[in-house]
Amino acid sequence: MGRVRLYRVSSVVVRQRDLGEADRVLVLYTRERGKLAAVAKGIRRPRSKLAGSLQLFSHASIQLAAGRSLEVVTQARARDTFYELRTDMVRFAHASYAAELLDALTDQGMVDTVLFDLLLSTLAALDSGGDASAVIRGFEVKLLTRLGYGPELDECVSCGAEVEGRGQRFSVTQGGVLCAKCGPLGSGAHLSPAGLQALRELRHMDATAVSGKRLSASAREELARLMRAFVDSHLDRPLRSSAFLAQESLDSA
Amino acid sequence: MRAYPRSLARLIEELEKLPGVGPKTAQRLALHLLHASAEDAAALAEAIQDVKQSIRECPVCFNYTDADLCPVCSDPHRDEATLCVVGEARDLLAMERAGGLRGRYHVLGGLLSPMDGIGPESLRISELLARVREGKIREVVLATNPTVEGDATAMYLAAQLRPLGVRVTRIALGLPVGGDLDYADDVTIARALEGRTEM
Repeated sequence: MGRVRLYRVSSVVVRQRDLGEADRVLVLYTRERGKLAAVAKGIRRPRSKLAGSLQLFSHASIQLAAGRSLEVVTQARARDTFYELRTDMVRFAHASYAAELLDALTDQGMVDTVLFDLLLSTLAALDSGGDASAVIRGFEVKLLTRLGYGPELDECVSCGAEVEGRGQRFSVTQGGVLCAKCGPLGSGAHLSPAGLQALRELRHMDATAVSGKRLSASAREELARLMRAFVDSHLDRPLRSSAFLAQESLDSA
Repeated sequence: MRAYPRSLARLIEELEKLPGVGPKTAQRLALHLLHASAEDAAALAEAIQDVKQSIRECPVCFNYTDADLCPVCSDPHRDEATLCVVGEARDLLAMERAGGLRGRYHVLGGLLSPMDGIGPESLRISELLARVREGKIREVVLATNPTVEGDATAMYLAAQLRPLGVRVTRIALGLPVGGDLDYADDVTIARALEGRTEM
């Protein structure tokens, strides 16, 4: 047997599943290697040294050993556990949604430090009590844009005319706004001028700036509904946490 | 490949379905049972059937029981004013093993987890609130796991329970007994310091 290959990464736990007696399989989104799955052995035992640093959403510096099918976590040091996320249902559910969405839209081995930083800043913004609705809409728009699925918000997806912000609609199937002329002909959903303006701003704001922004109640509801349909159109199956948010009426909270 | 007689292959197949049992272990267990006495084998088969037929959930606390009420709920010496909330029945067994609680229990049947689609209506939360509303309970001890899901569930329950006028407490977080401070992780040490007690 050759030498065990060890390496260090900066990671966030986006999903976890119990394995055997005391182990857990973690899906980690890492800065250096993208998404990967790793086994944390003995993590469910009270004296596990890994447990504190490798909770769901935790940002940690970890050491991994290359395994046959799964990597094995050998060391972990928490950078930020985002502890406040567990103190509030709204933040907890939105953080779950962000993690599940990133997991659903990325493949293992796809390295993207921009996405890693987006996830981290989104969790930090939720943790520090930013407006959950605004933070998550910003996360969705930036995540989809980065992956090439971003909504077209400036030009009509039907005729290419510049959309000025009056009388426009949003087509989920065509992936963007329809101008006042094309809107009524297509199958677009209503998109208010304020909603469009908010989406346009969210594209370019970082999560810290977004967290200080408060959406109006009507804009929240409108954008939650619209983005849910838009995100769903890019997924094989609907996300559980998305259904959870809708069911508990947290998505417009 | 049919190295085994059919009945033995079937036993191995069934044993493989058990958690933590792989093909190798299943084969070892099956061969062990093959060599065991007829009584031992029958006792095991009977025990499995018995547990499936007689065990159900206690209608009050949702612990396992083979009677109308579980052993804890039917014990008249238990303190009626204290109620300990746990995620799963196995957590109740752990609390009982430790033996520090004189009150009764409530088993939620899981923990809130948006990613797994487990919301408040999937858990026995309305049953918990109904028990507290009866008025005999004065303190509710939230003993869910100190994980993200467990803590979030505890916070959610605390918000629901406080308006009912009961004292709501959370089990402490800190260093394991017999542990070494030098080897503990940073998060645990930070929580232990936060939860320090007067001496």
